[in-house]
Amino acid sequence: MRIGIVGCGAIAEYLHVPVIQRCTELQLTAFVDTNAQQRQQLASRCPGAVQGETIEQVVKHIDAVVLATPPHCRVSLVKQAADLGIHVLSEKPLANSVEDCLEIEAVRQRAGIQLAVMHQFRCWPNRIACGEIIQSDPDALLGISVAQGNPYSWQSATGYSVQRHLVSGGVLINAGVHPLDSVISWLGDPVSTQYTDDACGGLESNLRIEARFVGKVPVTVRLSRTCRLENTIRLRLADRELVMNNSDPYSYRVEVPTAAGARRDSVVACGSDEQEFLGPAVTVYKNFASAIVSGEPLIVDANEATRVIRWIESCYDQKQQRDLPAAALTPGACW
Amino acid sequence: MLVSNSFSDSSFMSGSTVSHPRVTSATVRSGLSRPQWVRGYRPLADPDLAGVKIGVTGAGGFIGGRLVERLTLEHDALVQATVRSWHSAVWISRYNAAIHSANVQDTASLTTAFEGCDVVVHCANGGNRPEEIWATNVGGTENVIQACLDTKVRRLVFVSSIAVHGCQPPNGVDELSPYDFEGSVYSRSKIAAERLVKAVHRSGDLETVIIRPTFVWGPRSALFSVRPLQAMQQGRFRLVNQGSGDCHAVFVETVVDALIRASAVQAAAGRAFLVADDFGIQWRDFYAAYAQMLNLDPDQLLSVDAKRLTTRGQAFLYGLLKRKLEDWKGNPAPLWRKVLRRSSRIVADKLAAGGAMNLWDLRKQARQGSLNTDAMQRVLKVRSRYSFNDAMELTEQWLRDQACLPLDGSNPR
Repeated sequence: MRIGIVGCGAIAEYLHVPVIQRCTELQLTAFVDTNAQQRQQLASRCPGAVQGETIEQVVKHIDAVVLATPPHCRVSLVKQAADLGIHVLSEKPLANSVEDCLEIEAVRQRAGIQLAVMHQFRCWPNRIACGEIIQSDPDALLGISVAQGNPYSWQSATGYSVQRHLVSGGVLINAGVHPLDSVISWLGDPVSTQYTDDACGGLESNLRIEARFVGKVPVTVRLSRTCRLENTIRLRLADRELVMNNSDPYSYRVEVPTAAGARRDSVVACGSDEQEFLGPAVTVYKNFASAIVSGEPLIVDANEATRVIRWIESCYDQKQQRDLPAAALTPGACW
Repeated sequence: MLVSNSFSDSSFMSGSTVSHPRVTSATVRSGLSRPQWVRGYRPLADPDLAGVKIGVTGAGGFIGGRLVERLTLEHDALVQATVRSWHSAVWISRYNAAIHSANVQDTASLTTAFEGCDVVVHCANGGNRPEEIWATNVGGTENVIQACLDTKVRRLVFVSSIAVHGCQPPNGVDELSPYDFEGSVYSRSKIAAERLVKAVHRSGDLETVIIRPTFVWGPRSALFSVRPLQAMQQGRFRLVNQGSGDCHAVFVETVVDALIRASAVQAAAGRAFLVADDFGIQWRDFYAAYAQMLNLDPDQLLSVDAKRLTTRGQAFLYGLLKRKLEDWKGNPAPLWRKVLRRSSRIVADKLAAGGAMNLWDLRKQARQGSLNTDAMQRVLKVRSRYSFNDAMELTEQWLRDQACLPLDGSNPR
């Protein structure tokens, strides 16, 4: 199957090109970007691929596209692809708003194309394993804690993620999609959410969420792009904690408190012997290809991807109800 | 926009703590309790800068960032913030400021950012190697001045440093005390930059004000908050002379107060101002506060004797090695340089582990003597609005929230 990349930026270079090259079902045949220099630079890694500024210009050479653009472009690009009968694999988040997500799904349905979303963490073996543990004994789950933070160091040419007029939010929409989506995949949609962040008229760089799910399972989320946090998801069970590290798809740590007040740790390996970091992304691509060829259900389609956007949007709605403080607060303080 | 010199008495409050709980009806409705660290700050009563366009260079940094936050939120100013790289904008992107990617070494990028500005506050400085420090602090200031002239900015506020008076300024140092760079490239660059700023003021083409803060500390301060804490955690912190030197460090809020006032006070034009808090403490008191955050006994902090030859020799060697390691950076390097780099790094790391500091810092912390900040108080009407303890509490809150210290107050060691 022939696939083209739309958006020749960093995520295309570091993720999508190498992943596609690992999928024997797929052939990278086109690059689309209005920035000729970026497009040429990426296309040079794939001799024989065609280039264009629009999907229409390369339509004869593709069966599907991956949208590796910023999310504000998604709706128009999905419409273009749908009008041409081209299937779509979209980067996350699917869109900046629930309204846009619903519009994308409506366009998809009318055109009858496949549309998958790159929620690759759903394919992380350790997250699948922990999800199975939760499902096997839901009453044993006492809570979930997400702590994800790294000082922002993305070498952006445009400052996209820190410019209010370009994005709909800060660290929540930028880095929160994956961990929040993991929680949704385990527990369903939240029943209640209390949200605070450090934005004072701009984009948040620190946030805290306290949410409840069915069964009153408490979930706390701390995200930051100013400081380094533990970068784990912790599942608190009755007799142990399961700890997943953000950089390792193939294992989780089990922390068991001992009678003496200390702790006994062990590591559980998950997944296949071939532990390649790009493996889960390859799984998403293969699933996408199978959905097109044989109608296999998608791991994450537009409806599924909308759930996390709905949660994120509810958080931003909460924040907008609050008056700005009279004095500038401690930098990073959530309110 | 010209602002008169009269200020309300409320702006003179100093030293007292006012808990500033701001529980709005929205907060109550949402059921969220207000975290402890959200209280504690008070806005400056004046000047009125609503709608005034103010450019801030170095806005991604510690002082510039805090200035942007307060100008946008407390004064409704229209801030044009410049950052050298986008990732440094994560702090100020939280506020309603226009952010420009601009390098002080590129006048055109500054001109774009300063278009329509009434005031520019030049906070940017930096560099590691002498030529970088010079290019940024002197060349960069020259470019900022030119961009101000090109865009008809009314006033330039330049953030200089007490370092222009050397590492051991004379007792009672004030703005009229002589320049003395004492061999420091940083100090010499600030002196050169001040001369440029003064010259353009004398020409009549641009009003300028020079602010000379002492040692700025508080939330986000690497030099005087995060690094001392890290050094204590790693066992390589040293007081100088048992911390008996007079500490004239200044809380960042006082510096920002001075910058805000310097933007508007008529009588400030053409003048320089030393900016410092008057807590009346010594360095041992200052660092004891960080030790207590770590549940360490401040009386057990190790100290070096600044007068001892071995101490000064180590400081000299440490400073030399750090400078040389900067000079020798870069690949490919010939074998001799690689060997020299590696061995120098080993020695420098060993010295650092033993608490070594460079000569400038050694002498700075050994200084005993007063500073004269009358001009800051009399002309800018700026005094400390936070007590030392309150300022440290706010700093500790930030350190814990940003994971420099455990949230539960325990000792991370």
